[in-house]
Order: sequence, then C-alpha cells, then structure tokens
Amino acid sequence: MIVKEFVFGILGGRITQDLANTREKTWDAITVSQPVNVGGIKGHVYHKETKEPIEGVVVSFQLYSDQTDPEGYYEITEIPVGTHTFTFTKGGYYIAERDATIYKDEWTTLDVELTPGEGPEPSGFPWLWVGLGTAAAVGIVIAKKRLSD
Amino acid sequence: MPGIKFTGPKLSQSINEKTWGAIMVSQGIADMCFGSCQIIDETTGEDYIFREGEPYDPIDLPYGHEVGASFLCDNCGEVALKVFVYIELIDPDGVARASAWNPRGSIPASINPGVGYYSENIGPVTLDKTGLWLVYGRLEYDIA
Repeated sequence: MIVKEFVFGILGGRITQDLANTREKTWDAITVSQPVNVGGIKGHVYHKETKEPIEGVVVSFQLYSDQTDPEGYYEITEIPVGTHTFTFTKGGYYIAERDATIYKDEWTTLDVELTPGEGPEPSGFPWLWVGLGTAAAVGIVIAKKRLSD
Repeated sequence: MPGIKFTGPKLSQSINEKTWGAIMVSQGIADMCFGSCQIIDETTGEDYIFREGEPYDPIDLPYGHEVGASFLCDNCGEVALKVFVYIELIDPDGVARASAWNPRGSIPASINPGVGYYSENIGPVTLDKTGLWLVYGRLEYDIA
C-alpha cells in the first residue's frame, strides 16, 4: 500500500475541495519483465533511385530503435521474437513500414529502399500509379480505335 | 373575616403522562466502495479486470506495450453522495505516469445509492520500465 500526501490546489485539472471522507486503494496491476526470447534485426537503407546508402534514418519498433550510419547500416538487438512492423523515418523521404520476423538468438536481415517524398508512403506505391497510367493509356487507345471505326 | 383558602386537588394525582419512542430520523450510512480496476493493453486491445473481493495476480505484459487504466467505484451506502474520484498509474520507480480527477472542475459528481461511477480512463502509457506497475485509486465523498 502506498501512503501518499496530496498537495491540494490545482491538481490534474481539478480545483480540489477536500470532502469529508476519503478512501484509497492500490492495485498491483502490471508486471513487466525483460523478454527472454529475443533476437536482432540488421540491414541497410538505400536511396530508391540512386541506390546510395542513406545516413541518419531512424529505424524503430515500439521502444527499440537505431539510426543508420554513413554506410546506411543499422542493427537493433533484444527484440522479442515474433513478427513486428518496423518503421524507417528520415526527413525528405516517405516513411516506410516493413514487417519482419524475429527469431530467438538469431539476426534477421532487412534491407530497405526509401523513396524521396514527405509523409507516409502512398498506399500501393508505386504500382498503383503505374496501374492507373496503364489503364488510362489503354482506354485512350480503345476510344481512338472506336472513333476511327 | 375568615381568609379565603384554596384547597385544590393535588396535581400529582390528577395528570397522567406518557412518552412514546416513536420515530428516529438519521442520515443513513455514507459509504463509497471500490468495485473493480481495469487495465487495457492498448497495443493488443485486450482488457483485464480485477474485481473487488476476488483474488487476482498482476497481469504480465511485454515491455514496450501501451496501457490505459480506470476503476469502477459505487455508492454502497444509503444516501446520495457527492464524489470526486482520482486515479494514477505508477511506474516501478514510484513515478506517477498518468493521473486524472473525475469530474474535472470543482463541482463533485452526485451519485445515488447503488449506482456505479467510473474514474477517467488514463493513458496510454508505454511500459518502458521492467517491474511492478501500480494503479492507485482515491475517493473523496460526502453526503450530498
């Protein structure tokens, strides 16, 4: 049981007025232990078009993170086993999210290419735009053919 | 001339008295009780409830998950109460990582007998320390 002294005044957004009765309780709510089954992830981050390594990309999953060095290399250790989504962030590039599976006491390699842009990576990028462009071109060809007929 | 002399009846013999213990008026018992505590693992969407009077163990959650917390109290007395409710989520180092009064402001909530009342749901807080995390609840109440 925690014994607490409350400083009355403005606390947590309330102008307190001590009422006549109080009752307290503390729950032992959550235990957090260091995960036993852990592995690591490593890899390189490159520029999508130039294939040059990118320095300073923040690679993160929950509280685990690292930053790429001048060779674009990163590594994160002590990650719980399982499949997780890793986020790759750097100003001037679309934010990339990639899934990777971590195995106990093993390294998982994940190389990523970043595309210049801002904000989240467009959904389906870049195949969505390629698909739309192709569909439009085919439509124009069909329309021209019908007109000529 | 003879003086006038009153010789009335003796009062103690002519008046009867009785008192009935008829009605007792009291305010009734004022009491607020803790009902349950709820932990929400925001990372997985699962929630966990510790009900008052039932044995429980602290839940084991992975490092890095995000959690929220709230508790339910109820007016277990006999009269309407005005109530303030306070909740904290405390990390293994004793630091309050989230807290809230309910209701906010200076006017307490009015709760009738038998009626439950939730604290605010605080969080999400990232479990960034290993060890035991606590939820602290406090009720302030008085007859409305």
